[in-house]
Amino acid sequence: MGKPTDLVQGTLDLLILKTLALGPMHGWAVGQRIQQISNDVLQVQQGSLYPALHRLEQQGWIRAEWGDSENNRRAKFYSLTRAGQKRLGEELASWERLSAAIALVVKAV
Amino acid sequence: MRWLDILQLRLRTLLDRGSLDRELDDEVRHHLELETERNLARGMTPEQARAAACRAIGGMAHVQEECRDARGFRYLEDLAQDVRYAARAMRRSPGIAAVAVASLALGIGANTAVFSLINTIMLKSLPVAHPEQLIQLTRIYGNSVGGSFSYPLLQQLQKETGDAVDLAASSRRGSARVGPPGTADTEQATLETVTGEYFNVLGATAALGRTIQPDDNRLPNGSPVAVLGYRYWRQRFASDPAILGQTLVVADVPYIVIGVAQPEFFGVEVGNRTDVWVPLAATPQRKWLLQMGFNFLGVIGRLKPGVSMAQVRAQSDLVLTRMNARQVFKARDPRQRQQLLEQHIGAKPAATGFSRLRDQFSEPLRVLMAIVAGVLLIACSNIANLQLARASAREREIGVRLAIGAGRLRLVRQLLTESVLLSLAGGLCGVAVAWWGCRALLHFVPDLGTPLSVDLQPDARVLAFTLSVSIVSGILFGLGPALRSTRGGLDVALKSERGVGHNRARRRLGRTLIAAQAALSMLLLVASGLFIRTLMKLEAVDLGFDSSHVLTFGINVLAGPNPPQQNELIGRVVERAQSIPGVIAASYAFCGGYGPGGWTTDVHAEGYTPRDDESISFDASRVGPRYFETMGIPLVAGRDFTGRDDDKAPKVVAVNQSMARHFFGTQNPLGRRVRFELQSGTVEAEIVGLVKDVRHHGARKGSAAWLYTPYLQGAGPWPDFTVRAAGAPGAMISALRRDLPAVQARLQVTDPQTLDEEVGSSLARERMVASISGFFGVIALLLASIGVYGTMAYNVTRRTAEVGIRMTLGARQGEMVWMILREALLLVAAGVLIGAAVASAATRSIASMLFGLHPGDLTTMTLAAAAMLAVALAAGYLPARRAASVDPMRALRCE
Repeated sequence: MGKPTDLVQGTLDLLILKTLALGPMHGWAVGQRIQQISNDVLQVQQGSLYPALHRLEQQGWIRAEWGDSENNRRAKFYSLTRAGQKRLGEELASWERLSAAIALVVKAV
Repeated sequence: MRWLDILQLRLRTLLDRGSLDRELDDEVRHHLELETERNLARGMTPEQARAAACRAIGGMAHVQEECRDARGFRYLEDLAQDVRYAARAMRRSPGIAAVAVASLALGIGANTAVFSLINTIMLKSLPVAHPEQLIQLTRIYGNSVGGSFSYPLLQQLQKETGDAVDLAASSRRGSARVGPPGTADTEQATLETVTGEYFNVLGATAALGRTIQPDDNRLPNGSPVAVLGYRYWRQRFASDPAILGQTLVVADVPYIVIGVAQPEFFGVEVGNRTDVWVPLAATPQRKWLLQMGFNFLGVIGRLKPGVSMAQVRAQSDLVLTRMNARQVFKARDPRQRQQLLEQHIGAKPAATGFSRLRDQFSEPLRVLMAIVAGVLLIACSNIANLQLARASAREREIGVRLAIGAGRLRLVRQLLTESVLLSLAGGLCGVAVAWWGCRALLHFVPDLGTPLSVDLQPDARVLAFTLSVSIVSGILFGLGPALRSTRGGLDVALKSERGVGHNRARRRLGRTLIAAQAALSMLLLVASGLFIRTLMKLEAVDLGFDSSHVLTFGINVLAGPNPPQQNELIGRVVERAQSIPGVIAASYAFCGGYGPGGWTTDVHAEGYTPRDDESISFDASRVGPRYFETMGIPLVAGRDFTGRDDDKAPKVVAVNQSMARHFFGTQNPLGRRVRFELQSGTVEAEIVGLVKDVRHHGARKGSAAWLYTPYLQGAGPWPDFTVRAAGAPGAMISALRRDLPAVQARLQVTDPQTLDEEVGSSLARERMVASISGFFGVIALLLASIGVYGTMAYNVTRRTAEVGIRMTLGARQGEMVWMILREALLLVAAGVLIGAAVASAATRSIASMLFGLHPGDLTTMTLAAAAMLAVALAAGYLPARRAASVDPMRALRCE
C-alpha cells in the first residue's frame, strides 16, 4: 500500500532541519514556512510532516518542548539540537553533491 | 548528549505511552485549529474550513498511527499491547485456555523431563577444567567396544604416547566396607582404585589436603592413602577437617586419609558417585597388576595442545598390536587367537565422562525423546484446532479490523502473541510436570549395584530447551490458524454468516489437522505396541530355571580363608541356611547365577574332534551340592551334585542339552567323559547329569552350551549363595541376616536379592521403554480423541440448520448420525493409513530394541489401527448423536 508523497523522504528531512535552523517553531509553522520560502512550489503533505518530525526527534536531531504560541495556545515547538546542526551540514553537503551532479548531467544533454 | 536525549525519549515511549499519545492528540488538534483559522481567513464558512483542514492532513488516526510508528520501541510497545490483549482474550474463555495450557504442560513437561535425563546422562560435561580435552580409550574386538585395559598395556601406552596425551586409569570396585580401624562401625561405600595420574589428568583438585599423586602408586606396595568424596565426607564425617591423617579401613586394608576431593567432583562415571579413591598399587589387586591378561582398567586421557584424538588412537593402536602379537603365539584356542588379532584401540571424547547408564539408556532415551516430541505435536495440533474454532468466533472482529486498515502482518503478530503466551504458560506448568516426571523416569532406571546419584538440577541448557520448545510450539500451533483467519477481507467476514459451505479453507485446515493427529497417534501407538509386545515376549521366555521362591546373596568374610577352610566354611554357611525354617534347599555357585559375566573354559569331549576353526571354549559354572534343585533347573537325566562330589571322589560334571547335542548328537551323554581346564590344571570327568538349557545371560541371549562342574572338586573363587524358600523369598532375608553370622565372627550377608528381582531388573530397560511409551501412547490416543471430539462438536453446531432441513424433509435420525460420523471416521482412517505407512518405515530404526517381532509387526499395526478407529468412533458419536436428536423446528429457527 504505497502512499503518495510529494517529496522524497530524505529531502523532507533536509527541508525540516533547514527550516528549524531559523529558530524553534511548531509543526504547522514548519509546513507553512517551507511553502512560503519555496514560493508555493513545495507543498508539504501535512500527513507526512508529523511522522517526519517524530522520526527526527527519535533520532535526536531535533528536540520538542511545549510552549505558548503567538496567540497564546499550547503548542509543541521543535528546535534543532547540536547533533541536528551537524546532521544538517551533512545533509546539505550531500544534497549539493547530488544536485550538482544532476545539473551536470542535465546540461550536458 | 544526543544519546542521552534519545535514551530519555525511548524510555518515555516505553513507560509513559499514555501521556505521549495525549500530547500527540494535542499537537494534531493544534495543527487543525491553525489550518482552520487560515481557511476561515480565506473566506470559507466554518464548516468548510474545518472539513478542508481535515482533508489536508488526511485522516487524523492515520497521522497518529504513523507518528507512533516513528517511535523507537514501537515493536515492544505493540508487544505489550498484544500481551495485554491476549491475557484478556484468555480470561474471556478460561475453559479453552485451561485445556490448552494443560495439554501443553503435559507435552512440554514430558519433553523437558526426557531431555533433562538426556542432558544429565549424555550431555553434561564433567566438572573439571577443560573437559573438551579429555578422551576415553577402549579396546575394540568383534562386537565388543568397551574393552578395558591391563596395567602392563597402560604402562606401555603411557611410555610411548606420553608426548601426545596424559593417560590415567581407574577401576570401579563397587561397594566396599569402610570404617575406622578396630570397630564394627563399618558401612558400604563406593570405591574407585586409580593410578597416580588420575586426579592430575582429570584436573580435579582437593577441597582439603591433597589428591593422589604418581608417587603414591609406585609398585610393589604403593602408599596406603585415600581421598574421600566431598559429599561422602560431609555425610559420613560431618565435614570434619580432622579426618586428615586418620586411618580408615577400606575393604579390610587400612589407608590414611590424605584429602577430600573438590565438592562437585564425583569421579568419571555419571550416575555413580565415588566415595573413596585409593591408589591401585596399595590394594590387594596389585598382585595381578603385572599380568597381561588381567583387563580391568578404564583409561582416560587428556590431549596435549595441538594433538588430535585420531593421532593418539593411531599411536596407541600400534602399541596394542605389538603387545598382542607376542601373545598370539601362546594362544591355543583359535577363537582367542582371532580375538587378539582383531583387537583395536578406540578413542572417543570423554568430556562427559563414562557411563554405563549412557551405554545402556542412550538409545531408549532417544526413542522416548521422539515419542514425547510426537505427543507434543499432537497437543499442538489440538490447540491449533481450538484456535481455529476461536478464530471463527472472532471472524467479524478480524474482518472489521482488516477493513479499517490494520495490516495483516500486524494481526498475525497479535494472534501469534496469544498463542505464544498460551504456550509459555504451558511451558511454565510443564516445568512442574517435568520435575515430577524426571523422578518417575528415574524410578525405571535400575540400580547398578551402587546407589544411583544423578544430579537432575535443571541447568541453563534444560531451561533454554524448555523455553525454546514452548515458543516453537506456540508458533507451530498459532501460525496456521492466524494466517488462515486473516486471509479474507471484510467482505468474506461479513458474508460468511453461518450456512452450508462456509469458509472451506479453514475447514480444510481443521480436517488436515485431524488426519495428521490420527497419523501421529497411530505412529506412537505402533511404537509403544511394539515395545509392550517385546516386553511381553521377553517375560514369556522360558529362562530354564524356576525363579520364584529363590533368593540369592553374597557372604562377606574378613580375612579370606585358604581353600580347605574355605570349602568347609561354605559348607557350614549352607548347613546353617538350610536349618532356617522355611528354607527348602540352599546351595552356592561361581558364575552360576543370572546376569552378564561368566567363566569360560576349554572343553574337549571323548570321541569328538573339533574342526580347525571351531571354538573349544565354553561357558561354565562351578556349582555346589543340590544346586539344580535350589535353582529349579529341571534334570533331564542323571543326578544333581551332592556333598560327596568332592576332591576325594571321582571327577564328575553335568552338561546342558545344548552341550550334549553339540558333542554327542542324539546319543545319551551320561557316562561319557569330557576334559576341561581348571586353575589347578586339566581335569577329566564323567558326565553324570543332563539338565535343561538355562539362559544365564538373560532372555535376549539364546541358550548356549554350558558345563557345570562340582564346586568341591578343585579350588574355586568365592561363590554366591542361593536358597529356595517355601514362601516368599524376600521374607528370608532377615532370618539369614540373623542366623548366618553365627557361623563365623564378622561374617556379613550382602546384597540379598530375589531371583525374580534379578530377572526383573535385567529387563529394566525394556520395561522402562514399554511403560513410558505405553503411557504416552494412551495420552496420544486421549489427545487425538479430544481433537476429534472438538472438531466434530464444532462441525455439528455449524451444520445444525442443515440437519434440521434434512430431518424436516424426512431423513431418519440414524442417517444423520452416520452422515456426521462418516466424516470423522474417514479422516481418522486416512490418518491411520498414513501413520501405518510411516510407522512401518520408522520402526525399522528401533529393530535392535525389539525381541521376537519384526518392526512392521502386523498384529501390533492392526491393534493400533483398531484402537484409533474405536476412539474416533466414540469421540465422534457423542456430537453426532446430539446433532441428530435436535428438534427440527429449533434447528431451523437458529438460522
